[in-house]
Amino acid sequence: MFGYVEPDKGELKVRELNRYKAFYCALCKSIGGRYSELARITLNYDCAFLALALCAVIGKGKCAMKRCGYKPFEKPKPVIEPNEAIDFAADVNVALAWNKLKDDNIDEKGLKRVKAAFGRGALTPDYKKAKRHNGPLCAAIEAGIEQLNGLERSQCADIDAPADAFAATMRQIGLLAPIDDMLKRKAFAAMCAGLGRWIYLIDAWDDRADDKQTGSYNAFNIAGADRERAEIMLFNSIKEAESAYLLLKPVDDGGIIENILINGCGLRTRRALGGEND
Amino acid sequence: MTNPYKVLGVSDDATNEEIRAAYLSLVKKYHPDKYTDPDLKALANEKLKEINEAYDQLTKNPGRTASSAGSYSSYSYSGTYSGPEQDKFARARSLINANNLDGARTILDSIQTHNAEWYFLYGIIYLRQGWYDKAREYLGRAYRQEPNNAEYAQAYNTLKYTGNPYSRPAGRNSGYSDCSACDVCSGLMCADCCCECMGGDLIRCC
Repeated sequence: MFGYVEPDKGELKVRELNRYKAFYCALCKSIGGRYSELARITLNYDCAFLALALCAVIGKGKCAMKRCGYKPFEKPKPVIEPNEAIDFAADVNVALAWNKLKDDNIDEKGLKRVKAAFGRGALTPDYKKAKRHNGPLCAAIEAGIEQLNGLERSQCADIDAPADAFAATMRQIGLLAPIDDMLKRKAFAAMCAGLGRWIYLIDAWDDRADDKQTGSYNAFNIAGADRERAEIMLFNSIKEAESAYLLLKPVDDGGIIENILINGCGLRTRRALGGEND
Repeated sequence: MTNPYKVLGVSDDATNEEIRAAYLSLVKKYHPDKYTDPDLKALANEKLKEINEAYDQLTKNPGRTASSAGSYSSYSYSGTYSGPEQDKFARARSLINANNLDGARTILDSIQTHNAEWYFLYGIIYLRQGWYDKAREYLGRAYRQEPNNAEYAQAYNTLKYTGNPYSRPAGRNSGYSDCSACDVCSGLMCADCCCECMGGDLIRCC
């Protein structure tokens, strides 16, 4: 489920790519500082995008040259200085990862289940920290994933329903973001919802073959949906996120965000659907 | 006073066609109907007002020929349905326009006639809520039952071809150029004419 939100690097300026990496590094440092070294393994690019977009909306994102703790012999690289947006993204990263592992532990089968059990157990102390850092955030994620579970366990045949459940969870996360302006926060949450919908759908589409084999729930398999239906759902979800983003007027880094939302997600979608090449 | 050229995203010496094209594309982008939430709708309307003002400024400017069609305002679903349970359908439509999707759904659920209009309005509700597969199903039904209805056709086709790269305006990042085969051909013909004017001949047969 994680790692689908990525830029179209071929269309990014080198400066922009470096800045994008700077957010990833900042997120890593924040997770390490707020949680533990172990928690850093949950680090993903989706939450790096969250950090980037949030910083752009609230107008923060100063860069400084820092060393990587894991590569001390490399030269210092640009890293975004800590701020409440990066910290929020770190909380989301850990909380979402833990809840996903818990989910897999219950629903998955075989080796995947064992791995999930191990991960969940190892990260539980960090999740307890997350609840202390941001209780409402963890509660919102737990409730959202629980609702999604309910739908999946009941073998829901409407693809829209579980996708909407995950979109709603992401919307709740967005509504808890540290944005003072209520209207901007709503628009940000709407962007998160569209993106959440897209993430759920593309993940389900990619997993069709595996899930059929293991007998796991897969909305596309149950609904018997073909490529054309998937295409409509995926691109309209991107459009939903894009429409919300248009209202945000970010202070900076708009180029990178647009690249990820429009080019990156579009490209990833076309790759997943197969066939047409750009 | 904000620079109207900047608002529309065109250069100072843009032609009327360029201004109009930019205007139409922006109106489509910021269309309030895309947003279910009333606050976001209001934000989009504000932006649209700014765009309309900029466009009006540029088209009223002396020295520019006035554009034929007027500026766009927020589009309301105003169909031409007349048939069984007409009043209920009309009420459902106005509720959709007011973004009271639950209210609209309640009315539709009470309507017995599941005709094209019924499928269309239900499809719009699904669309607004982000249930795109259901929207495809219902809007598709409405369109197939009445393919000559422009409103049904437009809604269904917009949903269906969202991912089509050629429906996107070419921006910095899109990688798609505006040059079509027509451009190439007419470009060559112009080059040939210019060449012949100066005594040469680029394309023998023209």
